[in-house]
Amino acid sequence: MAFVEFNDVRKVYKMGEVEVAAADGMTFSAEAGEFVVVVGPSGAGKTTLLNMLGGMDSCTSGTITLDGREISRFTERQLTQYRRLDIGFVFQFYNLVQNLTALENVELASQICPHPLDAAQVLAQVGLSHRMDNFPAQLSGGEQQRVAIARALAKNPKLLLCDEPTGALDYKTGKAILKLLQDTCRTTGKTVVLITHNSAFADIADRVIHVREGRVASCYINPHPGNAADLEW
Amino acid sequence: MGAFRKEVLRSITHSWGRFLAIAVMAALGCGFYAGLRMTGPDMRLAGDEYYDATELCDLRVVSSLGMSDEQVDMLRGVEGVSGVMPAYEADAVSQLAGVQYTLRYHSLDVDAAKASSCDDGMHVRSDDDDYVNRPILVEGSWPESDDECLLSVDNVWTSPVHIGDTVELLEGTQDLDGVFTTRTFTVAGFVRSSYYTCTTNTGATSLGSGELSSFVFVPEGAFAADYPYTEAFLTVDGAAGEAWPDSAYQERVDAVAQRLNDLSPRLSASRVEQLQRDAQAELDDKRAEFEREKADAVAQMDDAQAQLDDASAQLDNAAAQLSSAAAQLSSSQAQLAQGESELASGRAQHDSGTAQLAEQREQAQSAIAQAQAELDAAQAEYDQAMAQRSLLEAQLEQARAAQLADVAARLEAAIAQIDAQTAGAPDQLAAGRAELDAQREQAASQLSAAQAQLDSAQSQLDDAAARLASGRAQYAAGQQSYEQGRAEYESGLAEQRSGQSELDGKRAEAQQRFADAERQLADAQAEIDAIADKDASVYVLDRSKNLGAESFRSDAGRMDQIAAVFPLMFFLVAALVSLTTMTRMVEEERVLIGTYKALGYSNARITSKYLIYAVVASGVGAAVGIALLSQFLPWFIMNAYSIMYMVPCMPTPVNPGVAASAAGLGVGITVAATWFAAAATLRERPASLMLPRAPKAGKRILLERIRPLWSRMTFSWKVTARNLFRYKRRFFMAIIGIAGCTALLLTGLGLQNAINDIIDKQYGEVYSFNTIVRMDADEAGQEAKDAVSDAVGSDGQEFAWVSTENKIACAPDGGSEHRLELVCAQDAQQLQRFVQMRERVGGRPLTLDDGGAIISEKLASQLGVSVGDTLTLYDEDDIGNLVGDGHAVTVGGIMENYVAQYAYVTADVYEQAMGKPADFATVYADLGEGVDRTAFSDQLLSMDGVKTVTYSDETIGSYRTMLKTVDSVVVVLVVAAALLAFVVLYNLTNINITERAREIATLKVLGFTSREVDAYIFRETILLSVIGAAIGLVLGVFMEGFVITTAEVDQVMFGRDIHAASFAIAFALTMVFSGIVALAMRGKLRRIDMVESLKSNE
Repeated sequence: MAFVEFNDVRKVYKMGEVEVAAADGMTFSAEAGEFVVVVGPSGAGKTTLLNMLGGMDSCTSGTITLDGREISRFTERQLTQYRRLDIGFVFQFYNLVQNLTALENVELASQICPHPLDAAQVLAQVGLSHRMDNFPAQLSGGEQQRVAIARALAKNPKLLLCDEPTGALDYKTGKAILKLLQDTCRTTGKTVVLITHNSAFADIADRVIHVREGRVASCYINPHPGNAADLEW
Repeated sequence: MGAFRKEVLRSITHSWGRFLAIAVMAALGCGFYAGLRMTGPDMRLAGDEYYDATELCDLRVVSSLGMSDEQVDMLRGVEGVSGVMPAYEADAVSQLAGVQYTLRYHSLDVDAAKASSCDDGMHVRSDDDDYVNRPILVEGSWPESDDECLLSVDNVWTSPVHIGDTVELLEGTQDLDGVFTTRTFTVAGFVRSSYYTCTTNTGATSLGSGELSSFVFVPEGAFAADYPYTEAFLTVDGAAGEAWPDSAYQERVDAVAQRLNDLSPRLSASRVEQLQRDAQAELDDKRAEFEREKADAVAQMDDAQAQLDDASAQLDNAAAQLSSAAAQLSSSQAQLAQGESELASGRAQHDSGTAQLAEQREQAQSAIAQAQAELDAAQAEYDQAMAQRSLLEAQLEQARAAQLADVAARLEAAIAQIDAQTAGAPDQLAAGRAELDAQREQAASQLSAAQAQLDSAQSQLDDAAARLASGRAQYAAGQQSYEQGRAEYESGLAEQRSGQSELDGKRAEAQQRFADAERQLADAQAEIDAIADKDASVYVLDRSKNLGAESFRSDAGRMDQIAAVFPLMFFLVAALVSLTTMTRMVEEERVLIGTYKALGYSNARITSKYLIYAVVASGVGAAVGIALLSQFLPWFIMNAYSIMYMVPCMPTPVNPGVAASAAGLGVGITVAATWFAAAATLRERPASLMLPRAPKAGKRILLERIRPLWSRMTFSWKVTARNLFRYKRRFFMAIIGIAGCTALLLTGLGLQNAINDIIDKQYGEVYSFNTIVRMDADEAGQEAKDAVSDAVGSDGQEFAWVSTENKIACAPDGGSEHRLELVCAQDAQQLQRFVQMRERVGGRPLTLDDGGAIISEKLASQLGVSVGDTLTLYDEDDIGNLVGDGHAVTVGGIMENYVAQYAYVTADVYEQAMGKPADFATVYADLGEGVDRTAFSDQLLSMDGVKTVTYSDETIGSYRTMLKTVDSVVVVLVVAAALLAFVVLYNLTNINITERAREIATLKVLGFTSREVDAYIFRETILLSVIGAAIGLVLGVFMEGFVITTAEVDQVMFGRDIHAASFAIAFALTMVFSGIVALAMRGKLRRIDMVESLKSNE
């Protein structure tokens, strides 16, 4: 059984009388340690996929399993525990707590986990050992995203979920962040799921999932994943 | 409607929470401001209306010598005086339903009362302008007879009182018979009187404990005919048209009062003159009567004397008659004696004549007898001879017959001898007989002549004897009548003598009586003359001297003071809430503002949106708040006061001025805050406005420098700590709001403590006696006191003798005057067993010794004296003015005391100060729980000299009433506090949540549990609550202090300590409010979608 499995997952929102299917029978799987890139245009259902995979939303039908556990049947409480223990989330807009320093932002996540990584070490890993005591406002966008990644990693999750992590960053910084994520995947063996509208990112993925109109248009393994540092878009 | 306007309108309808926050704060601020500001005026208005409706006197004229129609007419003549009602008043200790009260009896014009009508329970209508102080009949009927009375409807009675109950007069300030025509009254009904506005303080009296319990209305006829009017109640022209107690009203009244004061010397002169005239007339009458009586008495005595003299003359006459009668009697006695002796001699003569006659008769008889005898002898011899012859013849014959002739012859011879011998004998005999007869004849005639002579003498004698006997009888009768006359005379004399002595006694007695009467008349005259020297003061008293009206007025004034301070806090919080809310709104609409700007809207136009929003929100709030609270608060507060004041609680009109100023202030503050919030944002260029505003940067805070503490804090705490100082406006809003909430709570609870303490401390700690027995100092002798001692101490109860006097104390600088009770201890130590004398702060015990007086704390502060200073004590008269010379007393200590004002002194200090020894006529005793109060009272009151028996329970009761007023104030404060806390905390939390929606969503995504998210957000609220509450406790202490000193009345010191429990409760309640808000806001927190975290800023 695959590490991540989506099996005919549907997500239907009721907008008054009209039913809109944001996910209309998604089926795919991914293996542990893979760098998965989910690509699709706006409104294709990427975020819905991410929400459901991240335990932030539940599906209307179908099954979602992660590491053998069927999260689509989780209760609210179980979902919270799931997010807490198994998922590391990297947001497009970093979502750092403005009132906490870089280190504290990382610790914010690690303090609620049973087996966290050392916050300072993780920050050093992402290259921010010198900015640990700075507040988010004192950091650049890239640095903030690094803090966010460090925060996600520090929980030592099974899955790193990244929602357009470069969306708010300039090209160069974006690339550095991609590199960081890819390296993280490579060095720690963590499964990384990256969601983007930029199909160029497919090149560095181990597995590429194309989403279109609520369905998985294609899901394939990239036989020769490129290095993020070499990526151009 | 333009699009912009629509947008403005929608911004309201789409954010009710925000709108409400501003509106509610504006409502609270404006409402409390308006409501409290209107309460004072409303109370005065209600008072004015009530007083006008019941025609409460504007002025009261009291004359210490009383008044009559003459003076009343003088009062009527004063310019500006509208109605004048002369009235009687008297105080008496009375018994009602088994309990003693000190009551003030007022006369009621029953006819006017019956003619009046009162439809609405307030307006007493009457055509009689002179019908002043009109009571409102609440229950029962007007008195039908002079022994019916009306009681106060207010329930001041310890035991239930019903119509038909009997009020018994026990003791008055003067002889009850001179005041009342009856001793018992039947309760005919219950009234409300505006003359007694305050139900807990009816006034002072010289009777009993010095405090009046209540009042009674009785018909004028219940007062004795000789009892003069004690006072007159006046209304002033046009005063009813002015609003009491405004200056316009006071000026009108003052003008008339001035005229009355100018008149008062003439009033008193007229009264003195009248009293003297009346008394003089009466005295003159008495004197005339006396003179008449005296003359009568003298005439009667003179009559009696004349009669006696008459009698005496008659007696003298009688005596003369008697003595002439005596002379006659003695002369007739002499005559009688002479007659007697004559008679005796006549009798003797007669007897000797009779004897002579008898002798003669004897002689004659013997001579005759001799002659007779001789004759008889001769006869006999003859007869013998004859017989011998006859025998011889018979023998002759015989012898013849026998022819014995010898014998015959011898016989013849013998016969013939015999014949011879007898031949002359018959003649001789006849001669002798004749002679004898002659002799007898002669003797008989001689004797019968003598006898006749004797017989005539005898009859003469008998005549004389008869005459003598009648003379004697006459004499005896004369003697008897003389004796009788004498006896009569004697008794007449005795009678006359006793009459005389009686008369003399009477005369002496009468003289004495006349002298006495003369003296009395002279005394009476002196008294009449002394009337001129009597205190003939006339007092003109306006409503400020009416205890109830004045205390109502000053309480209304207190409301003004409180209104000046309390709403400030609400306004401050309203300003802060508006500021934070509008700041948040402007920030939220940053992009919109940028868009407007980009579209070419002017700054003014854009600002107007927020200003309009603010005006509408605060305007609606202000309108609602003012409309509700300006009705509710005055109503509520007056309702609360209605426990103490009998002023009807009336619908209160909104005072437009106050309402406008309240609304203006509320709206103004909000608009100012809004402008302040919008101005900064509006200065930015449209381009930068289009960009999301950089989140407010995190900052290190001071706390972080304390490493050991900071490193131990979890992130939530760190965030909380940093957040607290990140948004200063919210911080202050929250702190001030919550502090205000706690302060309000503490004020309310503290107020309750303060008043509870009056009872608990005064009667629990300061006093350890519960019974006061007062005796009449002038009447009670040592014996009576000993009896009371025995009775009080019968069950081994302790007691202390003291003397108590009401005095007026003046500060050393001669400034303010304050009433106090001067208590002199017979045994200082014994008294201290009953009265705990200690300093309030620190509790240092004080010893009552010869060092000076120990005075109560409030008195000391009012007089501004401290230990070692001297205060001057004066006596007070009935009206409460100070009279006589002052007596200086050194302050030896200042003691904790809550109820009334006291100065305690030892007997020595008293004597030194007053110049006379104290008269210990009052007993403080501590009656055990088991003692039957009624029986105890009855027992003591039946003893000589005992005037009253009072129990502290009664006093405690009146304070409990006060406490009820406070209870409702506490309710208002708690509700206001809760509202304040809710609005502020809701607003704060609301802003926090909406502003940090992303952060919260992120935390959720990070896997924070609901509980952890709640804690993350609410920790801040709770921390703010704790800080705010802590500050509020400090603020509350000051606020409570302000309210206490403002609300405190003259004779009472409220407790000064807020109990620890109150602090705890105020704090806990604040936390509860904050918890309630947190609970309510949890849902909102839950509803935050995690997807939020994925969105960009704005």
